[in-house]
Amino acid sequence: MKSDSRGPAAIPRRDFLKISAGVASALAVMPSFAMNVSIIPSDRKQKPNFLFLNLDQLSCEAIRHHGCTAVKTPNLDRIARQGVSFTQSYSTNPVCCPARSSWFSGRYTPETGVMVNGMPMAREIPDLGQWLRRNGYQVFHTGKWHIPQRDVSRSFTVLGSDPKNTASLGDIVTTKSVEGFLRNYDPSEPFFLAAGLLNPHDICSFVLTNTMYRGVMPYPELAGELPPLPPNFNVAMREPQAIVARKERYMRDGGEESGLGRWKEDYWRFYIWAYYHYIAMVDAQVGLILDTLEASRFAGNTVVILSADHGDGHARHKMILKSFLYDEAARVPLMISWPGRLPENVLDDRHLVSGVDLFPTVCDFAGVPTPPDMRGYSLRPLAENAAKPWRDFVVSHTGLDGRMIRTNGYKLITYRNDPVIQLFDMKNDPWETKNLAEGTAHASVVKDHLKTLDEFEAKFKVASLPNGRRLPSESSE
Amino acid sequence: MPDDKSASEVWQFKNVLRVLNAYDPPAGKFDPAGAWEHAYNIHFLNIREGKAKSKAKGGSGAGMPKPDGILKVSSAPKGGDIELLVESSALMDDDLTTARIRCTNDRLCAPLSWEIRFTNQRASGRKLVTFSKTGAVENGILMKEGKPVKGMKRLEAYTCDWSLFDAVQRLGRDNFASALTCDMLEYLDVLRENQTLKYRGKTQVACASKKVDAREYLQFGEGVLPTHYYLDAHNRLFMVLGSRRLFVLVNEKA
Repeated sequence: MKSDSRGPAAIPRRDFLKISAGVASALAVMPSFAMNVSIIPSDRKQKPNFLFLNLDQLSCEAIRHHGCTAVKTPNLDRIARQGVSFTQSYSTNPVCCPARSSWFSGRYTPETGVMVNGMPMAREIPDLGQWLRRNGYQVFHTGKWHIPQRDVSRSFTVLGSDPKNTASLGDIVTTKSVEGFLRNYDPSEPFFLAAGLLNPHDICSFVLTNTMYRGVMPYPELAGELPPLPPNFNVAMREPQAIVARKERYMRDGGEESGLGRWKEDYWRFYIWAYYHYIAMVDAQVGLILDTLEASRFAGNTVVILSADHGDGHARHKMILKSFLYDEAARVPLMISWPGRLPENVLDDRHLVSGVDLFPTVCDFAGVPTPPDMRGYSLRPLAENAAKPWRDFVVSHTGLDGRMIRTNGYKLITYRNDPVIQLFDMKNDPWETKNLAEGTAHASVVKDHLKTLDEFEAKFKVASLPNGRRLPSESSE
Repeated sequence: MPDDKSASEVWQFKNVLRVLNAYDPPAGKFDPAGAWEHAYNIHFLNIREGKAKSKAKGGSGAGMPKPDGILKVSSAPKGGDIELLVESSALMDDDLTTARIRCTNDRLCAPLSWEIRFTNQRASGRKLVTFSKTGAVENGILMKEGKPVKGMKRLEAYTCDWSLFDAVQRLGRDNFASALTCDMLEYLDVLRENQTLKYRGKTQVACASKKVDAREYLQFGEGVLPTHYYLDAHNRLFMVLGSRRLFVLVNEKA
């Protein structure tokens, strides 16, 4: 892979950057691109405010603006229309705690130490709240936080709903906290407000609460409304043992998250229906927040960023929920809007971006330096349509063993000590149905991707596990 | 009266039974058209079966798993309309939403005007998040703080989610013969279109000390998951179950 030594990160850019030639011309051919406003250089004296809306379990594809016609997301679409939506955006680790640790640290999960839910974040890594506060911002948090043993109240002023928020009354409590804040906050100092909205995460309850229906659709009234199954619902393809075992566990009867083997086709479609309804529920909360922001004194000087920690299987690859590396779980929305300051209605499907990019992006807009060892890059130049060298791959992890490298053409998934490696041609097979690693035709591509991944990870400052163990990326294979 | 279909028995979900096994619903006469006050425990159903939550001590609902919130709804005729008073609290979050709503005295219990207040008792955030606002529907136009909401359809048949706690009891009183079809203002803020509340059938809900002969109504519509409403023989709404939220009636004043 090409390399480039320029760049601000501790990991030399030669490892993963290349000049993205002709960025402007490339954007110009995007079907949804439209430059509706001129770019106004931000006034560095007047620092912008930030509203970071983080959703839970929202797949990038499950947004109408991104082409999903079966879901109603007028307010997610609204943010996308008001700014830039990066559609090749990947979670660093598609499950709640790990992905969130990356957002708030700018580091990949082997470095934060949060490889699976429940693991604590490395103490020595500063989080975004601490960093912005140190650099002149008032920082607030409401709603879901879910970074273990990182006390959110030490990093942010906590508004309203509990940081352990499980949205007991729905996301409305978080929304009301944001609404109150935007009505009451004294604008003398810039703010960063993170609002963690839980849905569509409630889809997690679907399997458990519906096990008793034994796979028989309980609501015949909905028969005419059920979305179709995806084209990769039934795919004959060798999969890593971690995926095979997971599917077997879900398919068999008994215990929690089981019984999927009994699900009839309409029941799978009911799952997708329910998932889309949970998305519509949280979309409305986003709308209330946007309405309040637009009616507030902060309307013209607030950067809105929206993303999700991970997606959901929703019948793709006959999978549900998360913690795997197919696109439905790993690819997430990432939108940035700043009406009047950034181009509008840009659908950027060319740049590979990651959850680690949030931290440096906020710092860039805020005009503050980044802490050392940032692994991400500011998205501001991309959002401003400036020609800029850009990375040519992103990396994700899952659990202690799963790794993914996504380049502009391919995605490779590998699990430690598992002979099944997956390679997908993401341009010609976006549904990830043909494993090109099975034959010999792409052996060099597989080898090249594995080498790049290994070299990239070798530079991580790997976190220690609580009991003194080391994460696998530092252990011998 | 419609034929009784087989009820979906969604209340037999294990985490619901944990609550019902310690639950004694109010009994006796009840007049949906009179003045009444209902207090519901709100249980947020764990996505896993997990361990049982610790149990509430003393007062209404003692012995049941601790609730995650409380919803109080009172309804009283007032000047030809209905006045609904609502208190919704999230116990873990120390949040409290109160609303005073003037509603139509009909089967929709449609909100006409309201004042809603949100407070939080958490020390660091309470001053920043407390606020109140007003709203109304005037000639079908949703008004928020005196201004029409742009881009919203003209409301004809509509209600709100809190009003449904009243309206479904009226459906029962009216011999549950017909379905409600309307739009819904969720939290008096979000328009959820094309809602249907229809009779689903009879069921017996097993509670701690007895089985309650119940009639079930089911709500479908845009932006909501199927929500089940259960009336007892006196048209009292004693249980609501939708998505991960379970409401059980623990206290009643008439």
